[in-house]
Amino acid sequence: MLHYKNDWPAFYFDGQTPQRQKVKIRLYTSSLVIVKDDGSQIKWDYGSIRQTQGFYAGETIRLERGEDITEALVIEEPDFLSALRSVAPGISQKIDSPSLRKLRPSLMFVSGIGVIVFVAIVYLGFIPAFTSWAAYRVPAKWEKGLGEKIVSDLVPDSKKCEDKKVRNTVNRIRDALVKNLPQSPYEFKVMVVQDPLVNAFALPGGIILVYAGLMEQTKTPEELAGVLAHEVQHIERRHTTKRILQHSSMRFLLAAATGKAESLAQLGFDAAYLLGAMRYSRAQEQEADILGLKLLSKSGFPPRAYISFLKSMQKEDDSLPSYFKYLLTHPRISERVRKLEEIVSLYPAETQTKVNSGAEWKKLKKACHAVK
Amino acid sequence: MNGESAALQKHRLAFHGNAGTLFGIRTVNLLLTMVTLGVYSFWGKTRIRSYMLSQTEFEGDRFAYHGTGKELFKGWTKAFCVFILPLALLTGIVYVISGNNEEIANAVVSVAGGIATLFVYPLILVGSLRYRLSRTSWRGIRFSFRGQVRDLVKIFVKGSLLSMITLGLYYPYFQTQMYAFKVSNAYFGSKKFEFDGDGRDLFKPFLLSLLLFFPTFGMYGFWYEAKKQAYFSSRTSFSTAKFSSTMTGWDLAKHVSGSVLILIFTLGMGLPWIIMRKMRLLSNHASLDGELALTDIVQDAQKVSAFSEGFESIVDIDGGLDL
Repeated sequence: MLHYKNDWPAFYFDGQTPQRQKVKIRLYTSSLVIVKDDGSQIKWDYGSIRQTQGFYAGETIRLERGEDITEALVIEEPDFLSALRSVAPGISQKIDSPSLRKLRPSLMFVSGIGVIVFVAIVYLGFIPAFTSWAAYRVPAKWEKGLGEKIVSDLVPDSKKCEDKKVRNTVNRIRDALVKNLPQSPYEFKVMVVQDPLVNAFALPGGIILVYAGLMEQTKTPEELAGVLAHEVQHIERRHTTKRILQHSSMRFLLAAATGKAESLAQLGFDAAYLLGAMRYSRAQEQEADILGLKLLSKSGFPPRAYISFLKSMQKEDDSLPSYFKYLLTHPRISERVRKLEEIVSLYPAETQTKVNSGAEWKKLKKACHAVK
Repeated sequence: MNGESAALQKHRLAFHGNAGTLFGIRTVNLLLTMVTLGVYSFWGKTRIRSYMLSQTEFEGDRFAYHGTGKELFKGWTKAFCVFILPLALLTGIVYVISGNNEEIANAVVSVAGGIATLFVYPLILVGSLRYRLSRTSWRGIRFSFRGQVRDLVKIFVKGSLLSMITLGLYYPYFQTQMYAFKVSNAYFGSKKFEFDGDGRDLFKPFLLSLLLFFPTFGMYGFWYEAKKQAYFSSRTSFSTAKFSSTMTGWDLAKHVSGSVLILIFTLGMGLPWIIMRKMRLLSNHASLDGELALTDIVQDAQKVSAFSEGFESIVDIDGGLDL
């Protein structure tokens, strides 16, 4: 039989006043008895007791009884719980077992692994699968509406290039590419924006924005065709719609995980979220590169034209430190060029679709000169 | 003990919590919350509040938390059905009625939202204070909050509008009135806390903080905040004892900047250490000075539901207790 001490010193609070009464506790098989200094006694049946503190090493033990008027006992001796469990085994489920506390670090470790595994399954498996499934079920009409809204916000009418020759040339390139996508639900529109930005954007629903800065950077119309093929594939593969769904799913996951988002912790979570979102974005850029090259070749344009355009942008990209790799929404250009060089030999190199001569292009590409 | 030495008694909070233990609780909470798509968060929040209070000691006795996850969940569900769903429906109706006039719809929703906030925010704040204080006890005696929503609506609407009209100059008065409302309606058992501060005492320091904002890149804000805390504390009393705060702007600046850096570089996982830093700051700088007259205090618990507390969880407003 376990030897236990009777007469455990404790403090009693009657729930009526904040007075601290020094008492002794005697443990019996179905109840404990509180003995006050004046000799009076109070009996607490074990069925009416709950433990509310004393679950951690060094913490005082607190037992309570009652709802509207809550009496409390505070015991400082840590052996009290073991003694109580041994005297009244029936109370074990309600009373903390100090011997099981050493399992807590393991529980925390397992939970931590559980969190990592759960997040990995959701982030690497569930979210990509769900967004791929859902993106193809979003009506093309909705995507078009969103794309048109973005254009009206991003591009004022004064910046839309209306030059007829430029529009005809750009549309010819577009038509050559798009005729190889007979199943596409989109009506592709290419808009040249009179802005010095060296970039092109694919908007959901079929609109491609090409900035004058990028057009002037190209040496041949085939290089522009390469860029357009890349952007067309972003639209065909619903990358923007998928990105919106991915971001919403990740935000939902983080909101569910944090419950009420403490504003400071949100700073940390935002950083994690951004890093995660960038990984999805880089995969999409790679997909658009590879499928764009395929479409370019199928449309009769020389696939090397796109690689030569990327190389012309490489110098600026190379000047960035290597750790930027994790911060960019697209892979480093050197990496993109390397990947494309691996597959370009699979495609015919000749030009079958002719747009302009080199001299004509040199003049045409400046027609939509960037307006500041 | 003579009267003079009683007045010099300093009573401080002692915090026994451990960042590692809190991290463990939060990790388990995180896993359970994720796999239950957020449902467990109410029980998780309760566990953390319970831990934090049970590790906080005053005059040899620890605080206790009596709230439950079930109460929070029920409160949240009610708040969702009574406020959020009708609000979402109404917003949808406005957009449908407005047809293609999105600007008009946006304007209507913004104005209506702004007006609603002026009334809903006080409701949430009062409800949250009522709930959390009623579930907190020390030496078996419950705290309570007895402020009325209509009184806070008056303060909040007047304070917000006047602060806007005066381009912020009224703000220290507004802050003081809000603090006064929170403190002078708070009770420990049958005895209430008292506050006798006036916004005009903070006006000059506030004006100085505005003037020095840009020259100090906003850093002077910490000095104003510390001064405000010290002032509010010095004008807050309980029975014959007065609160005091010795925290300086430099203490606060170090604390906040350190905390932000820790959070960013640990991607949010360092929060338990931030909380411990905050508790240490509080226990080192805040005190209740003078004799604690507890003999005339009796239990005077108030019946309160978790409805507004649930709403607070949805709209992410801190009731001001930061638990």
